[in-house]
Amino acid sequence: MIQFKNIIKSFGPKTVLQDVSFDVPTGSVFFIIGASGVGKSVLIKHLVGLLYPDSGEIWLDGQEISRFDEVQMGPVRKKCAMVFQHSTLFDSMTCAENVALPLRKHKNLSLKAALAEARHRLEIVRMQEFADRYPPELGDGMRKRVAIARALTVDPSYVLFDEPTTSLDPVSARRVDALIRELSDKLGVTSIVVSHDLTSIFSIADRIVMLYRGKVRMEGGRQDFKATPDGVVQQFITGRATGPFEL
Amino acid sequence: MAAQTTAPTSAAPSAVSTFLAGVGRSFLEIAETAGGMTILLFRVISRCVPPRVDSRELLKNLYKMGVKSLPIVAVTALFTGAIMVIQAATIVKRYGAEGLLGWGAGFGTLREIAPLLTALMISGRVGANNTAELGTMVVTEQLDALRVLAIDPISFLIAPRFISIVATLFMMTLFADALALFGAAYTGQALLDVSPTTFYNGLTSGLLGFGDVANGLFKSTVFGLVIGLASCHFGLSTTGGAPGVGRSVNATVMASAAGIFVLDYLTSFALGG
Amino acid sequence: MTTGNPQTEPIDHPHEELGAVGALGAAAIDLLIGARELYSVFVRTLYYVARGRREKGALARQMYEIGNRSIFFLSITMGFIGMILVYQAGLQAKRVVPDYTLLGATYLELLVRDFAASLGALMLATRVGAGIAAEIGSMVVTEQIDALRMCAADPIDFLIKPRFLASLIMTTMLIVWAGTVAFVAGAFTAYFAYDVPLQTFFNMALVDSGDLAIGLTKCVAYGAAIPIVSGYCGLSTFGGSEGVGWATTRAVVNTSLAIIILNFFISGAGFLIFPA
Repeated sequence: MIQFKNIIKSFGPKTVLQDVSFDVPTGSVFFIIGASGVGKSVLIKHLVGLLYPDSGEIWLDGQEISRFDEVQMGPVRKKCAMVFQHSTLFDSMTCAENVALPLRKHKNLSLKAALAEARHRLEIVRMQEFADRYPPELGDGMRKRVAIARALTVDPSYVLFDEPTTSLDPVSARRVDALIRELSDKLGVTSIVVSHDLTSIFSIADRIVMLYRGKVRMEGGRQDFKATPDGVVQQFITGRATGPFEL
Repeated sequence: MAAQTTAPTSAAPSAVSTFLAGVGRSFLEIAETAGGMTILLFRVISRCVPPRVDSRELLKNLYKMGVKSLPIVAVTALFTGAIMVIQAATIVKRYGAEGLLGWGAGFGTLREIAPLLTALMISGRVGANNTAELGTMVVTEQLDALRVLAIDPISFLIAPRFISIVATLFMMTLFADALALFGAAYTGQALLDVSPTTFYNGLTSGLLGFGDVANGLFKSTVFGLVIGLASCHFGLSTTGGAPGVGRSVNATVMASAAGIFVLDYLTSFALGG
Repeated sequence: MTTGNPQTEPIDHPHEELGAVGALGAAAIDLLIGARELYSVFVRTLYYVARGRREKGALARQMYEIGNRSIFFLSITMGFIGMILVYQAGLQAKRVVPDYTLLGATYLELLVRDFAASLGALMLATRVGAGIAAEIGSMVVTEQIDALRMCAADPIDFLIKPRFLASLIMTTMLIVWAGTVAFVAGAFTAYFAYDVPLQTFFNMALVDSGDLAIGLTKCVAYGAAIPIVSGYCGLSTFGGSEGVGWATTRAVVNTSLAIIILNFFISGAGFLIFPA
């Protein structure tokens, strides 16, 4: 279970998050939505220690992690994995080596054993034919799936997805959606997805929270969002250019 | 005393104060860089004792850096040896001291020129390259990805590269010493009819000793530390996308060059002959 | 080796293995192609110097850029070099014949003949060369060079020619300054370390016209080499935005190498033409 309590975060004079609080129930597919630059990525980076809040608390499985240093963050990062927006594979290694790296480091496997295990994991995301290719040779959707495979190597309970479908073609995007849903249904993983892809949101989300101007505007399920009278929310989820919504 | 018309205080600052502000700002920047590099040094050392350095990355970098620098060090060393002889030749001819050509060209080469030029070339070839790689990794979030995978970037990425740079410079200086003397000997023959035997005799005649070689090697280790630190520091602190990478590379090359010369002087002074 | 069957082979072979001889051959071919292209850039630059467009102020702006960018860095490094060279020379002189009367004179001769130009140029190669490559490289990856060509303008005329002329002038001036700094630094080192009086050190007896000729030739040669080589590296940037970093690296290395090779040839010729 993850809880954000009164998070405030500023960069210089600009306050990006002004008192954000919500809970993420375990085992769900949880979407954080909002306009570009509203602070969604900033928020989830707090969960893996890439950023620290100015004030507020973050609770993950009963531990308050907002003041953890790099050493204390180690175990947290094995529970909570992240798939970056641009997939962020290591360009100097093949896909198999990319997936094998955390296996070598955390499970003390030999190189051979790690590569074998890596190929097996690439099968799960249906990328095993490209195991020996380098990331720059692959398309965005393919890189995304390898990145997901790599994130899963630490056997996490939570996986964070930073705009997983943003730069993908529609077919690849739906495949990624299906993968995220599968993780939750079959492996019991809690997925936290930052997104503004309306198709994704309304096909796989269990619960949604919308950030607007640094605060939580609304929280609820898909039906709650579709039925809300709030003009700002309606404008966002129906994708209209004009209305009360201000960036 | 002539009456002075006072300039309005809200006018543009005078040239002197702008200059002083610039100097002050440069000084602060230099201090910040030096501080950052020192902190990095401690973090790298803390991963060496007890050794927590990724051995695969270490070997990969040693190979890559060594292979990359070999041709350029070879060319530089051969030409440098030749140039040293050409410069010493004027003096040697003036005093008719052909027997001392080995010493004349040799001491400058071993103590000073070979370590210096090798360091400058490696700073360009290896140091700048390393900064570009690290900087690109930083701006494409690959470094963040490592941290999120709970892999320590210093052990995995930085320490192997740092150690490789120092080791590469040391070995390349050794190699450059030999090649430079080789180039010098044969240029001596071509230009002054000094046979290579006479050259090598002059070299080992007792005026030059192993101490001079060791002096040069110690310097090359120090230079390696400077290049490694500058290269990794500027790579890691890259900001601002692709143009930022270019700026970091520029900074590395300059800082390495300046650092090399300052430390060259300090080491010469400390080792005192 | 591949079977060549397009049905089964991947479209690209990113990591085909060459044998040792193959690698050597590939390197030699690359070198030759590079040398030929470099020569072409040089010749075209000279052509545009004679017959290119005249842009008001471009030359002055480039001269300011080069001078302004490098003066502080050059002064610091040449100061230290001066101190080191005199310190080392004094140590050796002490071993052989502890007579320092000609120390300043010999030092000045070597400075004028070689070290001021070569070491100063190496420093400028890092500062100015990297800057030129980064600027032009950025223009390549943002397609500004392509836009220039669309307007029937040759990038060499627009970009390299002004930098070439500026560098010829500024390099000579900067090296004269650098030599002065190095000499003065050396004088003070000799005074503090070996008690050589300043009047004894400031001795111009050993510098003759041959030394001056060689030194000036080097200034001009290096001044020409730096913008040509680093401009060429900038123009041949590839690999997208990351390529700018690589272009800068290549510029520094190749310019330094060019300086060392030119030094060898000019020094050699100088020795044969102007023996002591």
